[in-house]
Amino acid sequence: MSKNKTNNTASSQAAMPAKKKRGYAALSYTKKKGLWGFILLCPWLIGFLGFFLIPLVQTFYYALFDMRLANNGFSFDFVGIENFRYILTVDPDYNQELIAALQDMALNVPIQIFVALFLAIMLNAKFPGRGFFRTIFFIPIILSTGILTIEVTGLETFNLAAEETEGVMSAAFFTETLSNSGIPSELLSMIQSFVSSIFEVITTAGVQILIFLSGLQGISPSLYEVAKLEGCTQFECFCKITLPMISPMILVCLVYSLSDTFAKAEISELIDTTMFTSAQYGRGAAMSAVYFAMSVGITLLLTLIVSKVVFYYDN
Amino acid sequence: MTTKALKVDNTASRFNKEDFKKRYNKHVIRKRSMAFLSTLFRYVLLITLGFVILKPVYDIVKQTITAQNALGMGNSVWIPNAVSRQSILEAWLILDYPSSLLYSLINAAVLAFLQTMCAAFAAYSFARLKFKGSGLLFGFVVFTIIVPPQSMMLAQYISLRNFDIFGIIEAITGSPANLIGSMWANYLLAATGVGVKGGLYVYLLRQSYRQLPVSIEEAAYVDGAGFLKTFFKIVLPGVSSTLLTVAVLSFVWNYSDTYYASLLSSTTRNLCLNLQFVQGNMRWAIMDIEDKMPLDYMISWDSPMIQNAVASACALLVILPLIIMYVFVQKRFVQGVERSGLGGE
Repeated sequence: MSKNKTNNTASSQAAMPAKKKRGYAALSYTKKKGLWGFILLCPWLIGFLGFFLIPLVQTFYYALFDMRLANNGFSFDFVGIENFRYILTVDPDYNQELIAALQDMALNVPIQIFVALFLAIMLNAKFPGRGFFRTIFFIPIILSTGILTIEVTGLETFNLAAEETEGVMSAAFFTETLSNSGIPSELLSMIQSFVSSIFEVITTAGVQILIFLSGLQGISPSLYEVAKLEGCTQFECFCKITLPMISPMILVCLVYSLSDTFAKAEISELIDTTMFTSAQYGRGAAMSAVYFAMSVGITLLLTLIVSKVVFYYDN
Repeated sequence: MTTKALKVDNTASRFNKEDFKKRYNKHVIRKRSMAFLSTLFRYVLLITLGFVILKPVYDIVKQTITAQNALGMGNSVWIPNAVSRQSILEAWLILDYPSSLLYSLINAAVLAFLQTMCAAFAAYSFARLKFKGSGLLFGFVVFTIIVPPQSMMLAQYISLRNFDIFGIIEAITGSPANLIGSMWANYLLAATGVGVKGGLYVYLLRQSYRQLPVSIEEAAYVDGAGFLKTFFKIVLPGVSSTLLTVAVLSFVWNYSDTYYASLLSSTTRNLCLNLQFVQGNMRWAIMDIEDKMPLDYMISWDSPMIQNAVASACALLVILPLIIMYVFVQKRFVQGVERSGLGGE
């Protein structure tokens, strides 16, 4: 195939000057494409190798050692898998944090994606005040970075007390009313946990809303026009046009939500303190190694499953 | 047009039963009530959730503008009893606002530009200009998204502290370069796609490149445009909406990033880092700027209420540029939508 093409260009060139093409010009289309692909990828590739892969491998390497701060740098004592054995069987917190991170993921990620898609569709429709509401729903992207969580040392206890009395009163009131109305307690606690997590879900779903909105904007309106002319209902339009066209964005959101929940899990703090506060560098490295193995495994598995149903307009 | 005509008709024969039935048969009523209900549902939902988001922001604004002697009064829950500029003046001085703001904004803009460009190149390579092994490399992009940056903290720090390219720098200057403490380390990480959430941008852009019809690029190439020209003239404008999204996200996250900033280029001129530090030491921060305040203000720092108010003012000053920028970018978003709607494809 590629040989054929080179022959073609060569013969067409031969008609004009009597020179043979050399170097770059002699390459086939596919090869040129590959070359430019490599050139454009270079900055990223350098960063990936130098500032990501090598440090990551070093982390795994550190996990096999008992690292201590010495006069000039670190001292290394090889301990093999002792660090891994310690964190998984002896350390009281690590296993619990690992399971908590998993629970968090299983609960939050589906809700986040569902809420984000729902809100994005709402915000994408034409209605008066749409710009205003969009402005509001993207504020969490700024909020989620934690600037607004004000922690003044003296005020913590004061705030906590105020919140507790208020929170207990209102929660107790609602629980009582609802349980008196005969709703089973399991369902009630589920509803309660959902309601109390609304703020969290909304504030962490800002990016996902943005991703979905940009995806929705990319859908050609003519598709909907055709569907309406053919007699599709709103629901059919959603199932047959919006969902397939937005499915690549669902994949993006899935990966983003997973990485976000994994990065924000409290286990990161445990690793941080183990490494930098208690100066157990090797043990901390082992903790991160195990955690990565888990999070990467789960994410790749889910991505693989979802990418089976993703639809690309061009392929 | 037609509704107007009908309305005129309606006033003329108000009690015509036949006409009324014709116009308001059950299909029309069902359709209209469904439309009304869905509009109502949309507004109720959006307003409720919007309130959940805006409440903390409002609280901060309220705390900031309330006069310090009126803080915590029972009758100023929603609207402050008395208003004063004192808190925001103190915050202004504590943060050294104008010069810090300039420093933070410029850095965030440079980082956002570098990250966006690097991601745009890499993503295009992954989406269209494939070569042997690019599928595997894209797997690594997903990998970089998933791995929390804290994992490589120590190793990254050491490699940037003793930065060298195959021993070249050591051969010239005698020792490896120390990039820690200046913005160069951050710029380097951003330009090579490792900075704050660098992998995510590649992922996002690749997805939107792939949704472009490949025939346009092929047509450009057949018409004599090279790969670079095709990329800059055809492909980048085609994904401008996603490109803007990526640039905005990158700017916001770099502006409010404290992880890389504190690890690689820690300085009090970085607004968010300084905010974090100041919020833990509000009492001393207020004491520090006491002399610089105008004389007609009563300065006090002991009450946690006042400390909280000044901390709120600091937070407000830090997020203010983001909100202002956001309001402007928002307009571009809406324009983009409208343009694509007109074009129709």
